[in-house]
Amino acid sequence: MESIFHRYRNIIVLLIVIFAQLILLAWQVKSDSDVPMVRVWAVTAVAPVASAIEGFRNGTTGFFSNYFELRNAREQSRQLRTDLERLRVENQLLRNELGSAQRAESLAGFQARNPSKMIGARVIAATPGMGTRSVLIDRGTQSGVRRGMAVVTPDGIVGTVIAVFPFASQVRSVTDPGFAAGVESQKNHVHGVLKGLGTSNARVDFVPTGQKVEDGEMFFTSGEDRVFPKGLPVGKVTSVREGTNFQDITVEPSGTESAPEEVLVIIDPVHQAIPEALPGDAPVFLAPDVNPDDGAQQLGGTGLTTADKLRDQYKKIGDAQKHVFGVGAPGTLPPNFNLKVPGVNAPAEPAAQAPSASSPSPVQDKKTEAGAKPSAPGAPASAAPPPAKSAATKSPAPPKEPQP
Amino acid sequence: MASSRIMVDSARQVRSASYPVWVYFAVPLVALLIQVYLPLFQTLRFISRIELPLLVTIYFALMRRSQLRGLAIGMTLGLAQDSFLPHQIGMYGICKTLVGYFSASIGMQFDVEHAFVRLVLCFVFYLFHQFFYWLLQRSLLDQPAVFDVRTELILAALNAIIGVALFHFLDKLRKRD
Repeated sequence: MESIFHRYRNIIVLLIVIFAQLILLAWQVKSDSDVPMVRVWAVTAVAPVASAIEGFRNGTTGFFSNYFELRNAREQSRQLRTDLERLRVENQLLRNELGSAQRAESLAGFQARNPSKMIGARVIAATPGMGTRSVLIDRGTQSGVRRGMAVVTPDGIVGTVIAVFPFASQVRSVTDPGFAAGVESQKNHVHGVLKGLGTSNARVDFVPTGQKVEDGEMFFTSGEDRVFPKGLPVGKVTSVREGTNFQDITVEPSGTESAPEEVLVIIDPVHQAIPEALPGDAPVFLAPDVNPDDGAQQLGGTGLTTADKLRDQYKKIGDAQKHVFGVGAPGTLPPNFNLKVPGVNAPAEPAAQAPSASSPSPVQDKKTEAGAKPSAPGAPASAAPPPAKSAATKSPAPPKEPQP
Repeated sequence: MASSRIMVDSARQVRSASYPVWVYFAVPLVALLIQVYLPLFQTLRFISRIELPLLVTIYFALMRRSQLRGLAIGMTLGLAQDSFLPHQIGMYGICKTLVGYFSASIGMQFDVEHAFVRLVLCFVFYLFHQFFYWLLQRSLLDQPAVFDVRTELILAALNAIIGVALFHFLDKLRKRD
């Protein structure tokens, strides 16, 4: 027996193993259950290694993806930086353009308002030396500029022309120590001589002690130097100190405060009165209406804004429906603003048909009474019958279009 | 001439190969790992068609020239492979037990270091494994499995080629005499 087993040991073991596995299978199928122990062993053996490999893979791919993302980000960042620089330059250029346009507009406005004859000039170079302050402008003898002419901006005086060339001129700034101009205070009309200090400020000399000059007061040109016409702003007083004979007054020049790029050279000076109010308190200039002809004649008014015209139009439409604005409880129906009222928001009815119309619009009468232009010269306003009950007030439906 | 070369004709060819202990753990583990882990990736899904545990079973059974060891290796790898699959445990166990046993039996007759022998054995045992698995599925589990001969032949050839390369690599892990 033992020899048989020994002889067929392998095959017997094989059969046992196969049989055992078959039993295991059969048991699983029959009982519909699992063998968790075997699975636990296998998974426990494989899971840590798989986990480690997965971690390694994640780390590696993460590293590479981070590397490429970083590379892309760097490239993107460089591109964005380039774009930013380009846009900054563009923005600066546009700002400069806008500033130039605004300054040009301001100069043009100043030029138009000021009675003195002026020509515009552009500052092309600054020639600051030790204690001297001057600039070069692009207008010279060819443009009619002469030595000693005044150079100003709407903000104030800038300097005087000290050297003239065919196509350029040198202007001594108000802050240059060699500059002098007659000035007058705004409130008390105290006279003095403005002199440069070589810094950003200037001083007013020869104002006797006792004359009232206040901090923050504006000085204007007095016209006494025969260079600057009277009435141009000079600057604001920043400090006033009493001296022995004269006061020590420091002024911050308003014309050179913002380093002007465009200036005006006064060719033919005309004196003007010193304004009573500070430049900042001047009334605001309102530009004309963008559509000056839009309904201005129709409404019979000039200088009305578009909002005024619209308000007038709505009022007339409301009147046509016998609506009284400002009356009525909240929630009540507003007038029908889409209603076509001839002569207001629809073409006026022909005059020939006006007398034969069964129910003429009361707006026509109102308009005629108000002195508005009649729809036709041959149709007098009195020829229209008196307004009975308007069809427009009875029904919100729009009236019929005028017959040809 | 050729038959004399592929048949066992010397003591060297009869001697079983021995491996470091870690190889018996590491190689099956790696084979299982590749089998269950790499197919997770879409591009590597084809790896599930390569029966690495089967090839490892065949290799160790052939090289160890011991039916019991081949049987044990086959059973272990088969049951482990079953553990990762959703069906009942024992299907691959039975198949690989048989493959391990028969591989070891045949390995004693042939020069298992010959590449052609390895190729043919891998091819045959792959087909046997797949067929037996299909048979068990149909008979024991009553599952509607399909055995596509053409596909299985192609896969058997592919596995045989990979098996030869794998065996060549595993040969390098053998202990030197």
